[in-house]
Amino acid sequence: MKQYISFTLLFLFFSSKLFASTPQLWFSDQPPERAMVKKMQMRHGGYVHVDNGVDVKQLWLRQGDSLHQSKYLNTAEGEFYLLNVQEAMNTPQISKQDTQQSIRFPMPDEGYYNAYFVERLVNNDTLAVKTAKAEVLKHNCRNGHKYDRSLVNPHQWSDAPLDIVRLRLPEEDFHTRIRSGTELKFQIFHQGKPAVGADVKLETKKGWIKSTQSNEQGIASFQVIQDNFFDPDKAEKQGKKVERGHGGRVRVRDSYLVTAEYQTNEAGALADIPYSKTQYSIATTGRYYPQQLAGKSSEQALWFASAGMLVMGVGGYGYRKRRVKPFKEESFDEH
Amino acid sequence: MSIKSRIDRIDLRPFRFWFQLAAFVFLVYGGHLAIDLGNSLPTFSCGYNSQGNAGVCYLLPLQHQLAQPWERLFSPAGIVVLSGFGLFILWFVALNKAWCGFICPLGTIQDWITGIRKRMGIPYSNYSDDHFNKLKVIKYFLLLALIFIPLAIGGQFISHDWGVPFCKICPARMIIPAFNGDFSQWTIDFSSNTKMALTALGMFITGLFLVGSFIKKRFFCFFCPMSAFHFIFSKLSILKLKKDGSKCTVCGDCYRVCDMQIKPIADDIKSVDILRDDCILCLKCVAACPEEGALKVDLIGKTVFEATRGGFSKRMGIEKNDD
Repeated sequence: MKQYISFTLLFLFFSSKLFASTPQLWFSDQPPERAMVKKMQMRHGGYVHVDNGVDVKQLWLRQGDSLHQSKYLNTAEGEFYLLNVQEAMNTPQISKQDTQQSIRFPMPDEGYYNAYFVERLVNNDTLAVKTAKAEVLKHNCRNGHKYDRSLVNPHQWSDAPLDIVRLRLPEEDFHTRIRSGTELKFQIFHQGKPAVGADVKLETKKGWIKSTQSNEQGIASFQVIQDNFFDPDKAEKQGKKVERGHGGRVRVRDSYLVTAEYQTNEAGALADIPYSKTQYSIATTGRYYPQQLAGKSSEQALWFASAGMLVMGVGGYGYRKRRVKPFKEESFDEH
Repeated sequence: MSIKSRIDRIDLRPFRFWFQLAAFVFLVYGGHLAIDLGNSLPTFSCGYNSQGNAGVCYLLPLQHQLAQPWERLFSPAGIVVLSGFGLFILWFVALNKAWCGFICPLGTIQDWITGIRKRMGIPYSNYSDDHFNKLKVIKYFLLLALIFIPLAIGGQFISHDWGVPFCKICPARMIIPAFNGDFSQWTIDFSSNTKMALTALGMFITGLFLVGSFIKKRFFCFFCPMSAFHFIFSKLSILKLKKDGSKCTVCGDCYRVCDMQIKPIADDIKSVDILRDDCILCLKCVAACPEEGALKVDLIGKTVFEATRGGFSKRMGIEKNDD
């Protein structure tokens, strides 16, 4: 009996490895080495290099089953694409300065840039088309805030094997943050058309997973959970080392990875290797923050304002009273 | 009657009321019409009023910029601080402290609160001379704090939680966004002890502001670091408040109408440039002066508004008797 169980477990383990596809790819704007951040500047869309006054974004390719179990890739076989703010398609420059696979591209204009990496592999009679996508915001407050609101709208690559587009929130602007409780909507497109019934999965860095399928418009919705966000002060009190940024700043936020998979019966051959079906997948990341009023109290604020009013009212009244001099008759002896 | 005579006889009170109202609507709601005057305005057009502001008070970006890491601040990238400051100066020199008396939304709100008090028939309060002289230095301490605290953040001496320290305690952060229905700033932030202390102080000062403005004209302007910042550069302005001491009878009318209790406006008969650090250039002193040419406002050396006997008589409603 014992042998039977061991054999079954071993079979399950090896079969899962045998038939599992390679882990998903995605872009990260976090450098592999923390020291690199010191040479970069923070913008609303994350860290950038500044080259001759122009923001230059660098994105690294990562691979793994989840955000916390992933590696930076040293090489990758595929094509990079960049859809700029004007929705023109370019090829980003592959960075040669790092050992890890990364791309760099200048962001001269305010708005969203979309970077893609597409990898094609045939495995077990199936063409696997994996896409990594990053939607990068370029916004500097120095450029003002009365920009054309259409710049906030998402862009879609019509020729993408599979594209995932985060639909905008009502009244979204360049400063809007995804917060706990927000309903996030992603629209999945297959070669420019909504992909119905695609499997869409959202996983947070801490491991919370929610899966769903896209509807007839290709839309999948998730409500961002109320997370137990990292508390740097508490962690330090517990003796843990906290990497603090400039001025001791630690941004209280977390990341999510959203992946979409879509299968078709498209058959063909890639480099003379035939396949009878095609499995598309795409992954992109984002960040979410605590609710706006988390850790804040309006009630306490009103108490403090009331105290201020009381102090000023009583103090002002007392001050006036003290300055009123009682009538005192002056008499002169003219004799 | 020449245009100049008409200006000198203008009824300043309604003119100023409508001008302030227009400036308030423009700065507090102009953003809805995509108006953007930039981030270097020398007045409290609060940046936290993100939905409606037509431009941002310079103190917010100044504190942000000074809190950069020193290696960046004192590098060619620090030119950003100078360019922002340059724009601030350009805005400021055009109007001098009239930014306070005619444009500042927070100043206008104080004038409206004063108007309510007057309608209620409650007399206003004044400081004693001794208290006046002691309290007037507070705005310089606040100015120094809003410069050196961000610098200390940049030098990593203190936590980033100190952020934009003056904005955290400025009542404009709470009051101006409220005119757009945004009360999100009316909170205490418990995410750190520093933020908690600053936001609590901010709410306390908002309480002081609301009652203080009711019993003392332009209560907050007396402590305003922007006013101190203005005064440092007021000599550069093309708009000047001037006095001809030889024509002054030291009657004290100008002092009595002064919302800011500036005594030298009446007592000082030697200075020509009579603008003082607390002045908001509301021009009430010029309008209240009965002596021909004793007080005047010059724009690029040319007098645009001055005290005249006729103007005084008209404003006092004694024109016919005077004639």
